[in-house]
Amino acid sequence: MNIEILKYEFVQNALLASLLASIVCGLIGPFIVTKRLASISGGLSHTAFAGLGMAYWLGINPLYGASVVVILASLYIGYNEERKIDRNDLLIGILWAAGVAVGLIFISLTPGFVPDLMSFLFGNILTVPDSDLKIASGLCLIVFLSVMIFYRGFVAIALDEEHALARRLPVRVLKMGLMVFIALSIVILIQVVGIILVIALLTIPVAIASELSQKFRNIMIYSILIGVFSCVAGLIISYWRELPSGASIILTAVLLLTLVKTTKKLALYLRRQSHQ
Amino acid sequence: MSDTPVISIHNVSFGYDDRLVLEGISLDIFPKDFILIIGPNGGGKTTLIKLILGIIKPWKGTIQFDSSIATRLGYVPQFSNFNKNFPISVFDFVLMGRSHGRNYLKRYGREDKTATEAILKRMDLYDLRRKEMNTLSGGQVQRALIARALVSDPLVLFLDEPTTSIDFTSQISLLEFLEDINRKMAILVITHDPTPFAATYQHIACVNKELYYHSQNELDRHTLEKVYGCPVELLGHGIPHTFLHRH
Repeated sequence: MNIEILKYEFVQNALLASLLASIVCGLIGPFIVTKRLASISGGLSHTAFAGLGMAYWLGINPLYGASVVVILASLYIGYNEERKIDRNDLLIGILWAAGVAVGLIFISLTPGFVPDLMSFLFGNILTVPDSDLKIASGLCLIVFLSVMIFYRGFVAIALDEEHALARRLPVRVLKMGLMVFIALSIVILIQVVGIILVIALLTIPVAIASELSQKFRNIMIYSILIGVFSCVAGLIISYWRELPSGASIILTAVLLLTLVKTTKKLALYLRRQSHQ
Repeated sequence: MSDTPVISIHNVSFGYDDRLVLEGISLDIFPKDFILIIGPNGGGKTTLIKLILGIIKPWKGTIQFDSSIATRLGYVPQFSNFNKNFPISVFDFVLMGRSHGRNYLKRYGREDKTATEAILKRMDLYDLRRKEMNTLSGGQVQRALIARALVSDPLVLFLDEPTTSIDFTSQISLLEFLEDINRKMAILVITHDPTPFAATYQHIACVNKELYYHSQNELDRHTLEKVYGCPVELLGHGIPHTFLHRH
């Protein structure tokens, strides 16, 4: 493979988009996994589809449209959980289906060119426009700074909410903040790997990192690095074999997870053997 | 014992949806008090503790704190109510007991780490400090929960069912431990089985939507029956009875 390819702007953009997405999912992912918010993230990512559809129909920047809708949905889910109005998993299921339906309807109502469904579902990292990259960089910076500043608070609510309340931490604000960041992260990641696989990029690097370390901070760092690796390796594979880029990234991550788990099992087996 | 209560609960009511769980609860907690909270399941014992700690807010009534107390409350929840799978070491877990609403934006300081080391040694957890919480045994988790509650040097310690799921000898050492720290702080224990505490408690609060408050020697069969809704064996002072329900 020719190194000259790095001279192309679309390749540079793809790599930058990967880096930004990996940082965000490495920072937010561990909180999602420990608080068991993975299904909520799925519901939110499909709500984002509705937001995108509406934005295209209205003629505004789709990223803004999706952001507004997803933030509102995440706050509603947070509020719902507080009050225990409906069963949360039921709400998520409804958002999931309604999100896709609403999105499809708005897209069909929009005259002229609209990106095809495949790129919504699987993303297209090779055609990320500069403007979206700028927005993504801004969001990435905000998430990074917030996690650094509020780290103690976020860890407290992920570990033991009741205790955090008893210690007079601003639990509600922190929870809402976390939900908003998840919402925004999802919107960023839609550009990279599309909606369907947003959950995968938020959870698989964390799963791999959890096999390698038991310290929360290290899990965050490893998740970022593994995310970057999966993206770069996935892009290389997709170029080399002419496969879809988003799917290649996810498959790389899954293969890496399988490799790590198998290696650990093998090491355990060999250690047991040596004791006999 | 001092005359001013550290916590004053006055006419507190609370419920879920439209159902009242606690009604007209009034209670004063004095420094170095030792209060047992007993009552049937669903009667509101844990709810009362959560109201005092600020985890939930009362519908009616007030809970007032002596000015020195603010965040000096220690809470040992029921053994299993936290996320056991969270990747955190024993040291960091106990260290989190030092966080409160006014310092969570800063880094942990020297005193935080020193206090954590001290309490870990006291609770015989120092050697386990680098181990992950999810590798601990039940009794060790219990000690870690207590350590977390004590690390911020509280004035009132709340324990929710501390004797459940620990064996008899551990109960004895827990009791001795509580007697020891009772010299420095008030203690409230929610318990199904007051027997281990029979000789130690100063006041007993029976909670079943309402609160019936007694000192040692005052507790009578009549009150207990009213609270539990069925005939009960008397709680003997100095002679630990098994606390049985007779049906």
